[in-house]
Amino acid sequence: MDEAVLAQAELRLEGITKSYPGVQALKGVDLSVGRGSIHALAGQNGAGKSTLVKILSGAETPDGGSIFLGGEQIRFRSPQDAQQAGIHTIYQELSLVPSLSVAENIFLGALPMKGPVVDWAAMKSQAEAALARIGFDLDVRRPVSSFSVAEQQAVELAKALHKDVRILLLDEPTSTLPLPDVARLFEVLRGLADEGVTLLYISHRMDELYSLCDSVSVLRDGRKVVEYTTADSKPSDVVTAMVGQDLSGSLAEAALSGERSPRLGAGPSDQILMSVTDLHQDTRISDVTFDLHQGEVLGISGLIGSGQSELASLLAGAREKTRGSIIFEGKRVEFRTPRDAIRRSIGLLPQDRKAEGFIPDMSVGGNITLASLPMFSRFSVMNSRQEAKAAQGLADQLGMKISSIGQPMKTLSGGTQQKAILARWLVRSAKLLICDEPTRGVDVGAKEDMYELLRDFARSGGTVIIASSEISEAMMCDRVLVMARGKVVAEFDHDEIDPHGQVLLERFA
Amino acid sequence: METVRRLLPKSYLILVLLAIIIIGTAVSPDFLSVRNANNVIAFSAIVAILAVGQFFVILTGGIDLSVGSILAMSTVVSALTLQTGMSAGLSVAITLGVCALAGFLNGLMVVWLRIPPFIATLAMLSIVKGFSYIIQSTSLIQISDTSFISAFSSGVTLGLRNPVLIFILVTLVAAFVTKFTTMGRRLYAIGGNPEAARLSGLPVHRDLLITYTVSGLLAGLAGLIAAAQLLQGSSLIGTGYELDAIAAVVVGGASLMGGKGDPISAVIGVFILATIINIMNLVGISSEPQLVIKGAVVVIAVFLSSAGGVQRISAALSKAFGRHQTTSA
Repeated sequence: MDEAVLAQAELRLEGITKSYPGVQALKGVDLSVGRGSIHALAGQNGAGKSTLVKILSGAETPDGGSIFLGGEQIRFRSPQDAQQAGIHTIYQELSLVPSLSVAENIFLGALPMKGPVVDWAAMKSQAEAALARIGFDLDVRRPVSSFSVAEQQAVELAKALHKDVRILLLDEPTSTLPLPDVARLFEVLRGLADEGVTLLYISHRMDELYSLCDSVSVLRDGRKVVEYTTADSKPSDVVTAMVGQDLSGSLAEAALSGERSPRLGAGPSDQILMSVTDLHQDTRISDVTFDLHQGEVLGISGLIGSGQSELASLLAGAREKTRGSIIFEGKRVEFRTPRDAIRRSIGLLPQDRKAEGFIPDMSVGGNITLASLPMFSRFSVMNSRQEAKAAQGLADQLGMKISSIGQPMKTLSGGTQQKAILARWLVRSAKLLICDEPTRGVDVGAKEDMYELLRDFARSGGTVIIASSEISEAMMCDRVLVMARGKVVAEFDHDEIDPHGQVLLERFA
Repeated sequence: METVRRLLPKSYLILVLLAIIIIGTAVSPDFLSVRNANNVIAFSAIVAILAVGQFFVILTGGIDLSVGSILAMSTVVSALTLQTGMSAGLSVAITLGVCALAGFLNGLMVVWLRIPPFIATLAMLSIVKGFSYIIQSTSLIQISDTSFISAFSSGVTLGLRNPVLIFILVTLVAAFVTKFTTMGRRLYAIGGNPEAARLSGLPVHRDLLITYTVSGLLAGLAGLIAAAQLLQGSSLIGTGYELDAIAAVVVGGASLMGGKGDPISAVIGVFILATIINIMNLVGISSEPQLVIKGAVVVIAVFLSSAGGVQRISAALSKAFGRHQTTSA
């Protein structure tokens, strides 16, 4: 990088280090971002992105190194210091108070006052102005909870923007956004960059990085390994740098670069495993009818909130249908609880792993055997040795990175946790796996593992349903149902889908 | 070896208890006598049994405020039935049945009516108390059935006084259930993450019903001991015991959020609190300052165990003194 660029760098980091007990998260990171540019931070989970964001936002103090803002060295003791300096952060999880109004949320912590009372009129007009700047027109008096995720995100942005913002940190802001809203968000962000705001953007989605950002820094193991300008590189370069090895030819590579995906499934048999007719659930799901073949990998695709997730949990007994019938292995079944579905050898990998997937303080082994305790007990007394043996066997088989099966589940990475939940169903030889967004919050390497494990499962005769809002995942399935507003609006065979999934996207509503 | 290690409660609790015993020995010559030890243990047996029941409820993420009232109801029902000339065995069976039923109703309110455990058991506290008062009708009922008194207070089996034997058995069974049975595993799962437990096919509702029923049953059992020790049944017995039991459980390292702790630690929590009270009695501290000190002990103990106080203090110390090590690493 030449001297001129360095001189006009809005944000410059030099040799930032940070260690936590047992790990050095950052081992000397240098970074320089020009004013008004959009710079991406890429890296696998644990590469140090989050730590860097925490340091820049003032939530953590670095052990060593210096931060320069507009050429001036700065030092933060708290998030308030960082915000004072004009550095604002939009986190993956929104930090809004759902029950308060939009205006109150925007001004939270610094409500405009008129003497001893809140100046509601000023607050309303200023909140509207802040939203108008990013092209949104909302009733700022209504509670935040009454708006869509995209609108809530706009509120979050407006909250940062009504203050003087020089640097905007965005930590996976699109992970919960429907596609059209992502486009809209990007327009807003480009507009901000044109106004001279400097953006640091973090995302796992390569297509987003390449459509939005000017340049990208790749972190691996707490170091910056490479920096590319997006004009002179391609997504696979970044992915290779992230993983530290060549992924060419793998499923993840194909998925990331938008090539035609290899199939996960070995292809369906003639035998029908599950037959669903006229399924309804309140207003969330209506008129769903399909047959699922033995050995098939069926994708249920759609924008977030289109009903694919609800359908997945309904088929696994986690929700109750209001109407319709499910025939499983030739018998009509009624799933009132997950227990009923599990008895039929159906297993669910829930979408929200932390809230629904595992017991955080329990050991990995305990989490693996949770759904099959009777298998490891006699007269209700646990056979610990047998249990440990089965859990260890699966941990080895799935290549889980754990110190022992006694390690608490909460200390594992997202990918390893997901494998443990998969193991929970493999241990009781499930026939049908229902995966709801199976690779959400999982890094590239672990994603690849997950696909490979699902492929193994299908090859050994298992049947899989994948509910996903990721086009790349849908494209790996033998057959894809596209959902919109709770209905199945289209159905495609693997071979009918073009390499970019355009036919799927067109049916997304 | 592994089995022994898993059964042992958190080691610091034993250290704390030992420290308190050493202090007691130092400040009062009467402390380390057989008579005094017997007193502490006999007094603790009742709360310890309540604490074991409370532990299971807290393990699932709930709370049971009704156990003190159920204990009182147990004394009243047993005294009343014995007064009619009923045999001790039948009286005990009826009493335990009634108390288990009260616990079961707690469970129904929590599971079916989806009332938060705090509210459900608070209502049950009032209902049971009123009910005992109504059926009692006089101020107190004397108990003179010798086989009943012997079974739950004065009798000695295998060299141990019966109340002590009962509470040791209850504790051991509870420890076994939590560590070695599927039920124990399920309760940890339900307390740790109820939705994940449900999605893994665990019978969450049934297990919660059982847990609240057991808590009621154990409160009834504790009531039998109280009745036999006091030789009477009265709706006034046991007021505030539920708070003692809850305090002991959290001092023992359980989290009110559920999913953590073990019954032996909860019982050690009972002894820590009871021993402190005993020492204060021996050195002549009157009961009002005792309450203040007891409250302070609960705060300190919970800060050190559940709130991660030990880690926070050691982190603060290493930050103050060990800075150079971390930067050079």
